[in-house]
Amino acid sequence: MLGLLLTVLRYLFLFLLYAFLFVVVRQMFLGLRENPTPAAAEGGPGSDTKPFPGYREATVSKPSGRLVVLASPDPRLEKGMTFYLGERITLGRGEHNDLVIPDPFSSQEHAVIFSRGDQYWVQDLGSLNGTYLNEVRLDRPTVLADGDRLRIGGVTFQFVRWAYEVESS
Amino acid sequence: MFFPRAYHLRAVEGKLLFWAFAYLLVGAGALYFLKPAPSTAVVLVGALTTMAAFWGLHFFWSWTGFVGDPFLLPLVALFSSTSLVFLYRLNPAYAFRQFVWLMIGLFTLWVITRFLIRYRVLADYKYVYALAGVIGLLLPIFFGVEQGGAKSWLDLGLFQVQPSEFVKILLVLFLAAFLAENRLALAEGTRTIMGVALPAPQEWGPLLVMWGISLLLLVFQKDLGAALIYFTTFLAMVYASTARITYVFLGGALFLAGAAGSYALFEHVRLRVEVWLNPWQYVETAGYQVVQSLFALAAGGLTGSGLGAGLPLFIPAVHTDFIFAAISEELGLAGGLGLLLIYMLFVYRGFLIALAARDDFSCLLATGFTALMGLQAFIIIAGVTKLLPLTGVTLPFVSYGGSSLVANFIILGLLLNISHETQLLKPLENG
Repeated sequence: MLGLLLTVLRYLFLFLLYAFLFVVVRQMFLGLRENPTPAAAEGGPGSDTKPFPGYREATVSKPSGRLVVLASPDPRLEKGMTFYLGERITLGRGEHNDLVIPDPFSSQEHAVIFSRGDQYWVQDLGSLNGTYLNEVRLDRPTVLADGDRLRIGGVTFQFVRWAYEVESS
Repeated sequence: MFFPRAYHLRAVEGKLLFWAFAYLLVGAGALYFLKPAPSTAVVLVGALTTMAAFWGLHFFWSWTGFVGDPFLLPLVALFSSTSLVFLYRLNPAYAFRQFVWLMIGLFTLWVITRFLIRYRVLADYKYVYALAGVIGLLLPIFFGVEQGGAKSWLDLGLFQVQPSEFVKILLVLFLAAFLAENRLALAEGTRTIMGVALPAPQEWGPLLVMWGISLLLLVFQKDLGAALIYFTTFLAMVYASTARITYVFLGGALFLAGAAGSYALFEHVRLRVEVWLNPWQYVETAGYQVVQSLFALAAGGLTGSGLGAGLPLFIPAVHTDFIFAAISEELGLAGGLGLLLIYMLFVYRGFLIALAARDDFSCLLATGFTALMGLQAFIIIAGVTKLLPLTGVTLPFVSYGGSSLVANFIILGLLLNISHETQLLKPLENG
């Protein structure tokens, strides 16, 4: 009797190893099929957490713009990546920035984009290699307009305002 | 606070932990019914305590909204379960010690995921790691005790520490910080010699110096396994950061030269290679271990002899380096392959974490740690199955050994912290 129980347990042990493997692989597979941008699906507009200074839901009342990556030599900023602008976001090579620019020609604290009224302003923070707006080097805080090209080192962004919002304002 | 993402991830983790614990409990049950006695009931207590410790960590993460990878902890729970079950079966005294080390390891993991969540500060101290690593390797040469032909243990009275297990973490930290800073220069080169773009000496110099020192030390310590792991991890990280296959070929050539040189110079290396080529001529002496391991693998067959029914104790050092042979004997080819698959899944998750990481340092750190784990598992399993010459290293998370286990839990903690940060930053980008 004990021998039988032992045999059953031994096979069950091996079986459970494979059961575990099956469940793990199945969960990984489900994870792959899931929407890769979970914030939009699960965070939702009602989410009360706001851990990301650069991140803001699209609302009509506040000014909302975004930066779209046009060109970047570093694979971590891919062409087409979009960053939503908040009240104030900092750009630079340092990890503490809201938008990290992984480019050797970017300074630690390179530039800042902030909103005043319903407009966005960009200001260079005394960077070594400069911030270029439409290939003109910034020497003072400047208002951003829809379609403007912002370049830091080898990374180029396009500034985009929400189309419907431009009409309403 | 409520994090829906964290809730989802931790729910997956909980579900997988449940299966790992079913496995552990059945294993412990089998051990109990092998010798049903009140004194044997301690395995059941040990299994339940281990479960409680893993669950505790899991609930702590759920509570704090930790969004680290949900697969790594269950995979490690399965390794630890296998480790405890087999060590108890081989020698209960080892299982008790391993159990204590496991608790220390889980505590370390908790400390790292609780207090080192901003792991990026680690990038600022790279030359401290280089120095600490060199000291860690030097200490056993002067104050070490020799075990199994390698002089790499420090005797601290109560227990022994193997510094090289921790030095490998320092090596990966140093390389990740250094390569992240000099990646572009190494990848593209700053000067051209005979049509080949080469980086300047100040870029690769520190790498080579660090490298030479560790290799020399390892030659003096005779710890071939550690040297092999360091070198392959180093190559993997250099390749990951520069994407230049030239460095791999160059490194491979250097390695072959080093291997040939040590074959000519050192008696113990020559013996290892000869045993690998033909263990049967040394069946009573140096080849005994490998031959017994091969017998054990053959005796296992497809589904093994069953837990507790094999004869793995004929293999010397079966509880550390050769635990894979014991597992394959008692769980058969099926069990051995199952364990290999779990290592592969661990490596897969590790590389996914590296690919998703947001900056060079995190990416290289995750790559280095994952490569380290994968290569270490490969090297020892290849040694046990006589695919490669045997070099004594531990099977990560499974072999008996406190230093190795705690070091692996530190690596696990850092991997989880990297994936936690990546998951947190995900909403910043759209599509």
